[in-house]
Amino acid sequence: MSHLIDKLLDARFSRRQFLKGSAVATAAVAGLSLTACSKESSLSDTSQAAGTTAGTTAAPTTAGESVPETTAPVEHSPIVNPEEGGTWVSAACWHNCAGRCLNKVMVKDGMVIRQKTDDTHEDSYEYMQQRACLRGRAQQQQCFGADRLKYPMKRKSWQPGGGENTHGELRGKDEWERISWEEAFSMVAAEIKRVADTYGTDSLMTRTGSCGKNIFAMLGGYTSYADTTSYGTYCFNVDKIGLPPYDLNKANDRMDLKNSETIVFYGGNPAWASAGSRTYNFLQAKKNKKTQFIVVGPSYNATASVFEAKWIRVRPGTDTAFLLGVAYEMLALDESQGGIIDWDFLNTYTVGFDADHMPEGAKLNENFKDYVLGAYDETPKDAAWASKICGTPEEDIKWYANEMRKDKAVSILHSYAHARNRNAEDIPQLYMTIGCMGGHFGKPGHSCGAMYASDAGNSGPRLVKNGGAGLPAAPTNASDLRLNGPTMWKSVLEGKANNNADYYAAKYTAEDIRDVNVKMVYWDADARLQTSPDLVNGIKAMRSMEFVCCNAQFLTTQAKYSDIVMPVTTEWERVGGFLTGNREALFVYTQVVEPLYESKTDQEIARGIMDQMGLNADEIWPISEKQQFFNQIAGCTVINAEGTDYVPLVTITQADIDEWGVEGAPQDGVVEMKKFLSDGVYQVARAEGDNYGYIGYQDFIEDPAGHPLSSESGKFEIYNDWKADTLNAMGYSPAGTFKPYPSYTVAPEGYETTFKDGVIGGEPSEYPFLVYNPHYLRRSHSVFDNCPWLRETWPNPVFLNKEDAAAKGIQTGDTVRVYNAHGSILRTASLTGIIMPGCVGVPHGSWIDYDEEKQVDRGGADNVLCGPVVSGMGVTGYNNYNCNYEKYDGEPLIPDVEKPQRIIEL
Amino acid sequence: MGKLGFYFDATMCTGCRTCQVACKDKNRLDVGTLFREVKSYEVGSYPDVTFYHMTMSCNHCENPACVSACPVGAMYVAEDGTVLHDEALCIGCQACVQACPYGAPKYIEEKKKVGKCDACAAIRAAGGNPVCVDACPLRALEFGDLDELVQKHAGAELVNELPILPKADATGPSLLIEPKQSMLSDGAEEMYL
Repeated sequence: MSHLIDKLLDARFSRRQFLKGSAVATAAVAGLSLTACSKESSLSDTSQAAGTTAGTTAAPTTAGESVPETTAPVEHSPIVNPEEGGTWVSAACWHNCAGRCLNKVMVKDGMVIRQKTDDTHEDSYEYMQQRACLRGRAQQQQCFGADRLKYPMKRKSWQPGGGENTHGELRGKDEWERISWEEAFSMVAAEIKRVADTYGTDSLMTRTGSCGKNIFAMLGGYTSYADTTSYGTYCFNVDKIGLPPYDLNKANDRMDLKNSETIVFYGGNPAWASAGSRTYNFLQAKKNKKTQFIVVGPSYNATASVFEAKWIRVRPGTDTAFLLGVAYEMLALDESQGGIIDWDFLNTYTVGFDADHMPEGAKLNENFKDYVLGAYDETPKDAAWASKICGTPEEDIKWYANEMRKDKAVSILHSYAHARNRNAEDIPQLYMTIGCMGGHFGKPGHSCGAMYASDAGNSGPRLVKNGGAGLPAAPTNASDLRLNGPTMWKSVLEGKANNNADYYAAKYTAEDIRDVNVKMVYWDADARLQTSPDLVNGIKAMRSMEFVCCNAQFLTTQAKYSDIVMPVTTEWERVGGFLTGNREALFVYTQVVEPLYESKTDQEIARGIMDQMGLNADEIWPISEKQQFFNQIAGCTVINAEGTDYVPLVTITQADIDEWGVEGAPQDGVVEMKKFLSDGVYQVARAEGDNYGYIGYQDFIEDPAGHPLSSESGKFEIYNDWKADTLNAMGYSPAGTFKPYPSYTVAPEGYETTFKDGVIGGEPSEYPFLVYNPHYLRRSHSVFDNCPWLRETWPNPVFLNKEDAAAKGIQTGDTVRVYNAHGSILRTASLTGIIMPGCVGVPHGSWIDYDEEKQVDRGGADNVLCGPVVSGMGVTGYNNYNCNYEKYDGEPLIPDVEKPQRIIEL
Repeated sequence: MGKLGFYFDATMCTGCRTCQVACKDKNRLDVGTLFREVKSYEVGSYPDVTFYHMTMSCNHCENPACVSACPVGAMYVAEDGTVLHDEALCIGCQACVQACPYGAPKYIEEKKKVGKCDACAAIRAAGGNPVCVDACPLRALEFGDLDELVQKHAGAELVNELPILPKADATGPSLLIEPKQSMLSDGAEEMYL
């Protein structure tokens, strides 16, 4: 048992891939006796353990030679099941992906020997198994990865106390030394205190997690940061125009998809971005062979391919032009042939479409329809106008306009790629307007809203929910200073920030320039440095700090540029928890293994630091993590058969409570606690005609006065003064840029700037390509990027249009340098016809591996190319930066999978 | 009763490669060794372009070239008709590796022996499916009696060869593919995804 980790690593993977782990005395597997763990390996030795050897000694053969037949009958080894005697344990799949699936591990002799996914019931479309993707299967390479950080460690050249002894310039280059937890806690505590006392609490920066956030809040506040992350411009107060927050979860439920004659996947690729079983939601619509699928975006992606969708190609960041073109052509078609626009819908459910439907008190005597027709700028926004900007052929814009017509059952489902662009501020309102023009809300087969993450193709209220942990409200941040994501490093380095938005709270104000003086960062539960724009300046900002500390499992980007790194457990080493977000299924996971090496949970780390600082951790966590988990279990609820109310989910007995040693009361539910924990899931079975169907906006459509929308008028607002006034005041775009109705605005970095002087069709600029960042199946954002199996499976090239790249003399497999004003990366070229000319697809999330001398990132991090350029609401515009690329004449890349893992020997 | 084999619904495959990783997990395979592999192929050219995916492991052929090639009887046809490999007998000569038109047997340097898909024989013996089948998020893989699979998918035009695959008559693969139209055209190019 004292060498369990050694055995575990030896048994599961060869030393070639996984270096020997250090001896750890406490790696017991929860709930299993370790007394039986005497057998060495359970898998690789099966064939050696049984069978006889035939006495043939034929020489090795080479291809083409005839092979002698074996003459003697051969007795073959019996099939031995190495899993015999193993136990399946429900296990976390904890990363921030868009699936929500079941993950289980087989534990035998104290080791995880295999994983599986949902087989808790027979599989059918109605009651579908919640099958996980490849990343879930590789979760073992996170928990047991050879590159797990084992001990608290300190950067050698850094000494506490600030000043020269900080040697900030060595962050990311220095060596590490092992320290004890006591040293880590006391150094972190002393530095927090020193920095706060010297510079004030706004010199402390963090955002989320258990440690920095709570500690800093208890001290009196901290500088935070916020941005639009995944949702792009849908982070804006879209409730003001009548949409739900983020336009999320208000399309129809999956059982209705088969009723759509047309399904649009707009700005998204669920096959890659909502991996697991979400794409399977569209099975019935696919199998009925009557549904027309359409994919809108710059690439004919994996979702397009599987649904044999029609590709409506649109350049990244130009969807406003495309959709305005669609609106014009819908009007034109309605005029010429009729039957396109649902005028009754516009009359009843919207305001601001035309001069006859303006809201009361409108400040501007302009309306959407007349803008589209060109009344204000003598520019009709017709297909010809749009095509020049968005690159969509005119006939495709007209075809799409016809497809949106009112007599077709259309589901217009979007993710957010088209909203993660500078000057995409009018996308939510415009997308909604097209839905209104066709009347595609609130009816079976018709829907207009998001298909995102675990809700992709399945909107509606959660049918099963977990309970609360029973903790008091966390201390709040007394400071209101929040740095805008794309410009945060600029703000840190230059000392000024426009404090005009708290994106996560949908709070927007006028321009508000404030001083910034950040001296310390606590990296906790996010991967901000890696996943926010301006990564090269982010590293500079790290080097300007007096102190940077980090909780981490691996030498992630944030850990690499820190001074003290504290090893935190994975979810497999914790008492248990929940994975939520799947409408029909609630996932519960249990502990797989005791904390590995010296890792601690977030709460234990926070407590250790708080103790040193004289802060009372019990104010935040008055109960144990086990009690918190138990409370969440006890509070689970599930919808009743009528679909009218929620009832307790879990049956808990006094014996359960005694066994767990927690406080609680027995209760009756629909599943016994042991079964729930062992299954790892409770799922509500769906059936045709059940009481769980959901049609978004149905109540509003049936009774608009009785069920008004969230906007002031209670209707969809195609004209909204608040929107324009708020955006125009934020200080990022010139006054008057945005209109109360959706209109086309030019981005400070976008398609126009790929031309000199910003004139479309003119001379190409220095950076004549548009670079966008598709989600990629190797990772979930930046998580998993280090897992060998996933590196092998998905090599992470850069996607280049075949003809563009060939014209530069580039072939698939060549190392190319992709560069712009913000930075420079290397990736291996993948030439393909599935991406539009003029576009470059850099998969999102790979870990930076920066060559400081050559100033080029050999890791291919997308955020090296995303810079601090903002407009409008300050959206993080991941998808419409400019770039150029060339065949790299320096040292070519090796495959990522052949790069050494980041293993720290202490 | 027909032969046992895999059915692959290429019309549902998103190319996610979960089957490939599930296979590595179950078979404890290091980087560099794949008993099941997914490849993606592009057809046409921009903008009239599409792509498809093919997942392939051992096809448990009617006339397995690997069995004929193996000089020591380590590759053999089991009672249920699947093609199995007895590691204890294997001398690592790689005759099977060279003989198999599908590239199913893999030489594992560290062991100096070959390994390959046994359609999860031990799991099947215990009543389960091959792990790739139960792993597929799009339910595109099945395993079983080919006659029954043909019946189950009556109406589908099932094939056992494609322009990108070797001719089926060489070994008689126990493989049923429900193809996408694009898979039947020539000129497909393997993608680097």
